[in-house]
Amino acid sequence: MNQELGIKLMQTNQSDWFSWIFFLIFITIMQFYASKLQAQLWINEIRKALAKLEEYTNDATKKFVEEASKYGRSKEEVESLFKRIKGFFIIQPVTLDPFGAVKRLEHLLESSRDHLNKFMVEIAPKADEWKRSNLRDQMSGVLALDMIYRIVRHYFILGRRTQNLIYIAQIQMLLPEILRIAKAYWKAGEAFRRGIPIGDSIGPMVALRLMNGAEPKEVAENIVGAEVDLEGRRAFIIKAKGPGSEVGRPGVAIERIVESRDGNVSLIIMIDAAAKLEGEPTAEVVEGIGAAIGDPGPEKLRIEEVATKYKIPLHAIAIKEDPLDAITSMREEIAKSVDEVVERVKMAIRSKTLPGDFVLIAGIGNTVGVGNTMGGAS
Amino acid sequence: MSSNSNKKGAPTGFYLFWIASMVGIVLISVLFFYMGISSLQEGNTNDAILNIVMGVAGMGIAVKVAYDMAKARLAYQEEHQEIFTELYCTNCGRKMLRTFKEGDFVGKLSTDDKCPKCGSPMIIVSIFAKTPKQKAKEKAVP
Ligand SMILES: [Zn+2]
Repeated sequence: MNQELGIKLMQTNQSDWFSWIFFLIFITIMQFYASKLQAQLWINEIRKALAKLEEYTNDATKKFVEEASKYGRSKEEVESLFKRIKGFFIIQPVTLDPFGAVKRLEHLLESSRDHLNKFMVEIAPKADEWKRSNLRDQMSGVLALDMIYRIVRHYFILGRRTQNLIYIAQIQMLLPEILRIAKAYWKAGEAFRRGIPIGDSIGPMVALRLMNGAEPKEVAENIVGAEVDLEGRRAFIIKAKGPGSEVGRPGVAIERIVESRDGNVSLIIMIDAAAKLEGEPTAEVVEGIGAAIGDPGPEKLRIEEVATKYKIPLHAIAIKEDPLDAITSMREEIAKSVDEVVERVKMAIRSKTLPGDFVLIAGIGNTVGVGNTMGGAS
Repeated sequence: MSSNSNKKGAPTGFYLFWIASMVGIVLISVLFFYMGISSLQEGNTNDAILNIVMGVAGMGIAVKVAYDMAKARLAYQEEHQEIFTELYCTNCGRKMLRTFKEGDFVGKLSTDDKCPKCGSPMIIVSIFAKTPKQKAKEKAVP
């Protein structure tokens, strides 16, 4: 029996040379096969993760198709339309010749927004604007999940075929993080489907609170704004147009407002969610200088340029949160930070401006589940 | 989250496999331990030490396997997030919390929700997810 052999091997003395040879051969073989064995173990881990990723993707796709098919098209039609958009991509502009790269990127982003919006009209013709934008961003989550799945599958197949430990190790080491991100995208779909504010919506939520019931008007593409009295200053508050999932174009709005007043703006305050470092508490409110906006570049550039042109100070208030909390249903701590942020805004206004000054306040972020007026009916 | 997919458990085969291997390990360890004790009584110290060590190590492995199984089981239970809507009465200032309903958004004047005190419609001031217990514990680490 195996156990008896094991015991004998351990009890043996030098005279039992047969056991020794057996032992040495075993060690030698292990030397050769250790890496192969390691590769096999890691491949199995990746296989398991891949199955989980597939489950997330399939579940998110199923939920999206179910939801979209409530608005004028059958499940089969929605499915075949969705197949067409799977793998949707944006090609980054050339930066080898950096002149105008941001303008070109802006154009590409505009075109892609257009493309997705038109696609939503096709896939859910009977949905209203609110539902359509929620559906669009629910779909974006599915597309992101699909992309993650494809990438992991690529390395899995490559690693299995080549048995190359480098490929396998790379993906194996990243697996926990990849799964965490995938889970967040999977959960994000739920928030967009039901129209629940996400962590990123804290900016618009603060803006809505500051508007204090004022009736806003549209000042730029998907951006609304209203003027209120705040600490004796004229405060113009802007946010994305809700309650559908929109981020709007705050850069265009700020540029337009400042230009319309010939730069007669004393202070620009921007409120946005910011990535927290591990160990930092969720919903910590911090302040700094600069354009607090996490867009790929065009909006931020517009804000910085117009602020520089008229020498308007840019005050940033950030609410720290995990990047994954930013795309899933807003957590209680974050929602509860609204009062503190409002207080900070007032403090900044008091210390940096004089009564009667004009202040521009922008609540940056996705406004899903956040309306445009306190006390407005839908 | 109304879907049942996030409450799915691990496959039954998975548990059977773990339980079978645990029972096997425990049996073998007990056998070794018994052999060790009887060797000790016979006065064969060398054999006794080896067998007792093997027995104790085997039990250790069994505990580890049980621990892993419990951990895997917990991983399969996706945390359930409940979404709440906070309402505010503009007439008397009373606050109220209820579960989120589709169609709710922050700033909405909800005519369906009457203030429990004065009966006027209420405004939705906040919508949020309660933090799962496990996550709250993580955040408590300084
Ligand atoms: Zn009341």
